[in-house]
Amino acid sequence: MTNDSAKPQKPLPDPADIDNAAFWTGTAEGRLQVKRCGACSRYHWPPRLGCPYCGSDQVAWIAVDPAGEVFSWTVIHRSQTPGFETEVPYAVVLIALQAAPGVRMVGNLVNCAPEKLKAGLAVKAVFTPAAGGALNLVNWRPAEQG
Amino acid sequence: MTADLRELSDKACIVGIGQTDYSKSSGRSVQTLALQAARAAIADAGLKPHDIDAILPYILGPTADEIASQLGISDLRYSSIIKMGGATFVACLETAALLIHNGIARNVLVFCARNGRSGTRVAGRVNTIPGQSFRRDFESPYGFSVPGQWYAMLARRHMIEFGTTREDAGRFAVAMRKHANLNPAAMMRDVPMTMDDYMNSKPIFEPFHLLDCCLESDGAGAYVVAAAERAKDLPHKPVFISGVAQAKPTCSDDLFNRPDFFEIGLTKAAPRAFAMAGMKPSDIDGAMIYDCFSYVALLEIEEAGFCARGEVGDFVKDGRIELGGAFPINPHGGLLSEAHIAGINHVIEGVRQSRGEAGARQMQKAERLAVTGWGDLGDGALAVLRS
Repeated sequence: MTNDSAKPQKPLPDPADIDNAAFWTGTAEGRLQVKRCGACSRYHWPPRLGCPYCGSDQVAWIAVDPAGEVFSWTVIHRSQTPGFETEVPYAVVLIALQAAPGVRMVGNLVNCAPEKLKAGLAVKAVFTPAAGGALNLVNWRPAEQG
Repeated sequence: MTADLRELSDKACIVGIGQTDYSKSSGRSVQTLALQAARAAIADAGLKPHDIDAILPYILGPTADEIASQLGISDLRYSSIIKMGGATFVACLETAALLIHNGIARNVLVFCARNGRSGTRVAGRVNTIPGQSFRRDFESPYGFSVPGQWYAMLARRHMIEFGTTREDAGRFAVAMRKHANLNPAAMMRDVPMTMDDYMNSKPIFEPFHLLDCCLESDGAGAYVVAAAERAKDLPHKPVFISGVAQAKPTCSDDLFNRPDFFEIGLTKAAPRAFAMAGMKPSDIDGAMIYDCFSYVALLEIEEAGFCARGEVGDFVKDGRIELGGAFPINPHGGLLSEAHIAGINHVIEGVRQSRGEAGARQMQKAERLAVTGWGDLGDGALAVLRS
């Protein structure tokens, strides 16, 4: 028998943070959103209240195709994140989004052994329930799985 | 238009250095460690504590107020925290030179004290890093929450783009250990390390293995900066701050979305520091490179301009970066094998080498040295020291 209450809790996003709340509304509906600047048209990530490239405040959330390719990754064998100690080894991937040039997103690799990772591997987003279903995290699986 | 940086060149000198022993368990408070290193640096400068009129402390540890109050400094004219992570103690050379050149202060004390092993561990500093909401919402939930993991992502991409190998990083790590074996103050002075040891060390955050990672240390270091014209009357050979600059990379609150993935603060700071010194990277005899992880040091070597981007694998071959090589790096053993005192130990070693006081690990030529810093999400600083 495991005692769930004694297990360290994994860190969770704060969906109540008003600056990022729209992102979590989106993932709950299976949508992936990034920020785009209305002045210079460039996408950016992580989401800011002003464009990091031109400084405009005309930035807004925009839904993008939840697909990309592996830009880089690390395989974690010793985790210092609460709740992850027993999940090692696991892969954290950096995904370059196809539909939003310049955006690279961090997530976990799912449905794939870390040894199979390679640069340029095509991946699709997987919306993974967390916090007892209160929100969806964004993870990534190989696109060839359909 | 910024002022001509050349005006600040060689106007200030590092006139005193001090350190405690470096260990896994100091058995003392950080206050005691800080005071020991500070007193040692002030004495080394031939000064008295009340000569100090400005203090630049680290973001963690004892404050300027606490140290001034325990050194009998009754008129502290200036203090501030330079928030550049591991680039702080190189960036502080710039602040100190500015304070002195502009008549704000005469003798500036800079110190770092930590029980980085027995007390708050090194990775415990993450809550001082910028972009906390980004880390909380978009990184930590994926079990990705400490600097070594973040920097591993840079290293992997460097391997992908440029064919950098574990052996390249291993050459750096092994060189650090060889140097530490010559340094009586180094935590790893009695622990040799071969390339086989390196290759066989346990994976931590791949591509980082255990022997790519810095030590966690208890200890303190300090230095004193004074005007060049005063330095000639002080006991030691003056070490001139010929060039120094700090810089933030584009979007210093996030490591992974820069248009140029490998741009770091050093990319911008290094050319400014060399211009201030009126020198080129090829004029430098050797360097103290901030080595929190072996791969991070490799990235810095490139961005500082000691070789072109993508060529560091060749640069570290054939003993070039070892003592006796063409471009020795970190004769003290660095953060990997001397101790992790947040890089103030790199400034201290730069001074010791410049003075010719480094004993068995003395570089043959150390007239022009560079010292780098790397902090947080790629903050950078570089100083050119001349003796």
